[in-house]
Amino acid sequence: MKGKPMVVLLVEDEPAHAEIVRRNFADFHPANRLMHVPDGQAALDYLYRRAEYRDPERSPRPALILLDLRLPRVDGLEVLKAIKADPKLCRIPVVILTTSAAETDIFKAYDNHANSYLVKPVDFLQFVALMETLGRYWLMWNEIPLLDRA
Amino acid sequence: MSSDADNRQRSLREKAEAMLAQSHRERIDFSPAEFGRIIHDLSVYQLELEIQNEELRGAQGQLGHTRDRYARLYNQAPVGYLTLDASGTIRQANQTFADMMGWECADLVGRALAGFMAGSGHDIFLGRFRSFFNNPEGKSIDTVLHGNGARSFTARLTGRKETDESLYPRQEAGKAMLLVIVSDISAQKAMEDALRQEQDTSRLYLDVVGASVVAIRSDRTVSLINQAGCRLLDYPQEEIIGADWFERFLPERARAEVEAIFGRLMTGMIEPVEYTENVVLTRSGEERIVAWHNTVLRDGAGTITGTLSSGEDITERKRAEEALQRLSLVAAHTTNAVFIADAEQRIEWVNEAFTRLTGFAQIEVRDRTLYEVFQGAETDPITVAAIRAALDAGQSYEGEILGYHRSVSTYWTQLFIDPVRDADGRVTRFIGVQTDITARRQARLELQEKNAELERFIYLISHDLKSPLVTIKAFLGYLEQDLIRSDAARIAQDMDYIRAAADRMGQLLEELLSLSRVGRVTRPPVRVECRDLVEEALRLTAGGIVERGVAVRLEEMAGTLVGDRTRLLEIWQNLIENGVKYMGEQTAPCIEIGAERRGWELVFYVRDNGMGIEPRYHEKVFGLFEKLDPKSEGTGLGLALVKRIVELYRGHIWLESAGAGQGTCVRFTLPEAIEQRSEIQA
Repeated sequence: MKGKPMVVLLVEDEPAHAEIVRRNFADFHPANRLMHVPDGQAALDYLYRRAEYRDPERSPRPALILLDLRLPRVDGLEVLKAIKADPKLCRIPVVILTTSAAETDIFKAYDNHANSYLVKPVDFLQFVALMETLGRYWLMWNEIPLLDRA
Repeated sequence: MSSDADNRQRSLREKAEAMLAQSHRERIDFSPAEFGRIIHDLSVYQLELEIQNEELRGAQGQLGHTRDRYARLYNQAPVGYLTLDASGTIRQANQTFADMMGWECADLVGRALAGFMAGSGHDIFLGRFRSFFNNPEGKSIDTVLHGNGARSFTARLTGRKETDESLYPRQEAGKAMLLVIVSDISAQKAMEDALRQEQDTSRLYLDVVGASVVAIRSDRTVSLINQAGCRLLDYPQEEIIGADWFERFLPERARAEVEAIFGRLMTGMIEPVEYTENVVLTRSGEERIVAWHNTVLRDGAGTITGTLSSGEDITERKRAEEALQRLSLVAAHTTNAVFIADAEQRIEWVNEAFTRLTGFAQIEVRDRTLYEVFQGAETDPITVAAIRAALDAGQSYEGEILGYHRSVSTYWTQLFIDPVRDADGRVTRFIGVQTDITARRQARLELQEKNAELERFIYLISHDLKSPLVTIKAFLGYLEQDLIRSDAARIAQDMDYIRAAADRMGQLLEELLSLSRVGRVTRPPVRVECRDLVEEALRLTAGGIVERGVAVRLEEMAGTLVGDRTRLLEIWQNLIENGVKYMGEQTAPCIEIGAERRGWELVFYVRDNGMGIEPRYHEKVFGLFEKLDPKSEGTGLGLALVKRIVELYRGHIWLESAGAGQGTCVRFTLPEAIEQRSEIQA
């Protein structure tokens, strides 16, 4: 168990879904910081501290990335590839969080070294349970590699 | 009268006196008158007798002459004469025969003729002699007679029954005799032998040659056929010789024609036909095709007596030729392009379809390598290398390749190349067959595109349609909690999310349905002026235009469209809506709509000065459910729908935009919707 607040980057184009995740984090993991970007391009800008995320204060290194697959502009899979191909970013656990249960999506995600693949449950209580477990596992039990704080 | 005659007369007188003295005739006394009369009578009588005697002597002399002449004829005849008795003993022989034998005539008489023969000749003569003796007419015996010393000759014996007994030697009177004529036929025999030998040799030649040799007389019968001819017809020689050639050995349908030619040949009306082909009938009823070389036969007087032909059975060759001809017909007329290349992979022959496909005629590609002909700028070098590797290794190649027509247009073909090997397994040729699969390939690509689209549809079910459902369910859960807590702000927020998600679902379903109908549900085509269509689209989008304060400029819009009015309208409606929606921060928003001619194509455009689209997204925006702005209200189906409609009319759609903030110009063509007449006027 770690006492330090952790940064979680949520890449989600659907504002409603982002709101659901935000509410769950507020309920279960209030100590952690949830950063939300609405598309793939924004995610890359955030990670590479470009454009509006140039200021490191606005783009703290995340300990976990929650990545949707279908995103405007740059697709989630492209973001995943970019992260895993970059030695400075590749150690950050990337958990795919998407509505798609399509086999091709699952295969492509793991082929590109996703650390986990989760399908958003349609049922509300299951969604809540998933978010609680997810935070517990990835933020409390899981060992996070030392990240570049620059 | 000679003294010889006087002597004879005197001796006759003495004989007569003696006879008178012995007769004891009574002496009678006569009166002198009577004496005188008697003496007169006697004198007359004596004279008569003398005359008679003289005549007799003359006759005898003549007879002697005649006899001598006949004896001379007999003895000096050009042939030998023999008189044989029933035992075959020589009873008389003439001088000619004696000369033939080198014997004296007298020495031959009493000897057996067979004694002058030797070996089998002797036995054959004895065997045949009785029948020859009894009935010699029309018979002859050829035999070798051995004469005095080393003298021998081939004799032909012919006989005649001797009936005139007076001609027999005196002592043989009353016995049957045979007159035998002996001819020395040694020279003739030698000639005949030589001739026979020559004939045998000729026959040998005839039988040795592979060709059938047939001679046909003017009466249509076969006078000669060699063994090859017998084998061809499958009859023994004796059944063919003398048979009616036309009746027997030609099938009925061919008979009249060949007979007519033969008839004209016989009458000399036409020159011998050097070369003819006709069908003959074998014993089994099989028909064989024979190629003949003909000539006419003439007798010594130059009269045509028949024909002589040598024929070759060309049935197999003919069949092979026909099969080959059929095959070459296939190769020449198949719709597939066919080429034949030599072992060095240089083209030897191409068919018509090849010329149609490539634009190259036989003479243009002859001796060029396959690679020169097929390769073009866009031909996959890996494919070419694969072909070369396979052919160099003497293997077949099968694959698809992009070819270049001489007019530089391209085509896709399915290519098969197979090596042809000789008996030793060496590659002598390559045969290539190309099928034009440009259309098929296009269809396949379209099918792949459709499949990809279908996959996106399925994807939609798993994501885009599920996404609002997740939202609704989640916020219903929160709503429940918030109602219990009576958190009014949260309740309102929850309900907003639910409403937005439900709306979105509804919109998605509606647009999906619309999209799926494009090309599937068709309304009868109608004529509509482009300008009318655009003006209606502007009326339908007037709300957004006015709200955003967009200036619209309708430019040159000549032309008439024929098609589904609703669909065509949707193109402009969607593009105008997009223009308004993505106007961004533009303070003087403007949309220009028009059409311009580029080459022979009419290109429509809808141009805005809004937020623009970065070049890297130009393709992506036309995909299903692709949105560039996550905050926009759209479903990501608008441009996908437009693209489908444009493609329904075989058109293209593309974007022109320098990038973010540079405005966007959507251009498209509608070739199949443009009315041809209006195009000409335009």
